[in-house]
Amino acid sequence: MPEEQVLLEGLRSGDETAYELLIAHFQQPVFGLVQRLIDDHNEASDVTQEVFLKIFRSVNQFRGESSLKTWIYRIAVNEAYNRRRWFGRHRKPETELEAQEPGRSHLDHLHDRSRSPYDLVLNEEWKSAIEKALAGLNPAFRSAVVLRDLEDLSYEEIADVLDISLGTVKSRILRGRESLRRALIEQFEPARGFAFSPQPAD
Amino acid sequence: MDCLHVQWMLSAFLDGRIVDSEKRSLEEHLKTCAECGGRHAGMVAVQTTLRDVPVRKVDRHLSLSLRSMASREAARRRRQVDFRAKVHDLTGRLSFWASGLMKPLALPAAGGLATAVLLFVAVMTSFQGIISAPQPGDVPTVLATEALLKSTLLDTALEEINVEVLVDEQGRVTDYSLPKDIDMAARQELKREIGKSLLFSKFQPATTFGQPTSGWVRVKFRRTQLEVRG
Ligand SMILES: [Zn+2]
Repeated sequence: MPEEQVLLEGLRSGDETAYELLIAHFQQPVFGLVQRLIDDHNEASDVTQEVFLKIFRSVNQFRGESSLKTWIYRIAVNEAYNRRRWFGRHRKPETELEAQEPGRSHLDHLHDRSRSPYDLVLNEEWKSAIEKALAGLNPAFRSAVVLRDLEDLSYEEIADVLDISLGTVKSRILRGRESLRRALIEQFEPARGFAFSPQPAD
Repeated sequence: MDCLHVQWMLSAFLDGRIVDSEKRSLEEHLKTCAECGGRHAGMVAVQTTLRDVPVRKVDRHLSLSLRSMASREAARRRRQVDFRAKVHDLTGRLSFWASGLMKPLALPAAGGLATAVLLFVAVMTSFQGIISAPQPGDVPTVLATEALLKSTLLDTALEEINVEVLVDEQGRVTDYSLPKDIDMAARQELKREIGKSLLFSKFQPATTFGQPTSGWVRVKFRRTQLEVRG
């Protein structure tokens, strides 16, 4: 992209307008992405500042093999990873998730009897439930799902950002979504313990 | 298409990443199989709910911090670029000089070398003087004056803190450093406070040979007052 080249020239020569443009264009996407990748939202501002500092300091190392956007996202994902608070607390061995075969949980069977339980739940409840589920998700799956479903990146772009193959992108998104779906079912499972059976009126 | 296969493809199906023939048989299966249909509905629900999760907007404070950092980094980059250009220029001049201009003077070999070294030192010295400017603690002279703080807006709860500030030729803050003995946690908070107040500070630039130049100045921040020390 030629505009990208002009912007990069500006960044490399210390042109103040180029720095301002980069901030103006990417501050919200980076801030949003970081919020979705770390659990402590208060830290998102600090991480965002670190991301931009890294970008400015390493702009000479950017060789244009990927787009500027995916390069910036890569730095953001890595910075978020570096916040151990996120990674350390929720570290789950990937094999554990791999070992779960789809379609074998009793919850699924219980669940599939009702036609569309999702319609029954209030929207707000869902939002907080999904945030909780996201926080508990394996970071490798979390970044793939966030980049796909929230940042709307293509599989190719995600492969670029995370530096993994297309096949791995596909399977991480699948497993991430599957884990979220399970987590949601588990969260709402107790509520379905109530059974309302019609009683004859006296 | 069996259930396991369908479930394996559901996610790619959501993203439109499967071929048409597979798509058709998958859609057929979803109509007739309650289990796979339920899973599909679940995944769609996950996706739409994810998109509904609110994300905070960049607030004024973060935006200001980012802009002041960008301005500092741009200035820092310009100094690097200038430095490289000057070194390049200098190398060019020296090689030009070495390659011919001085030859007609036909200096004796030993004398020529001594002159070369002397000239190099002289050029480098004045060059260093211009780019590095006075260091904190230097006594101001007629040739070099230090940057002075003109006005600032300060809002800090800390008792007292010394900050070294790099002021550019236009009197703007381009860099600063905090004392090394402050621990990391306090540092973050302090950086935020100091950065904010420096953003609204105006300095009188340092001078070298009467020309405005960038230079370091030590600023003491106090809870209620502040002073500038040379
Ligand atoms: Zn099926």
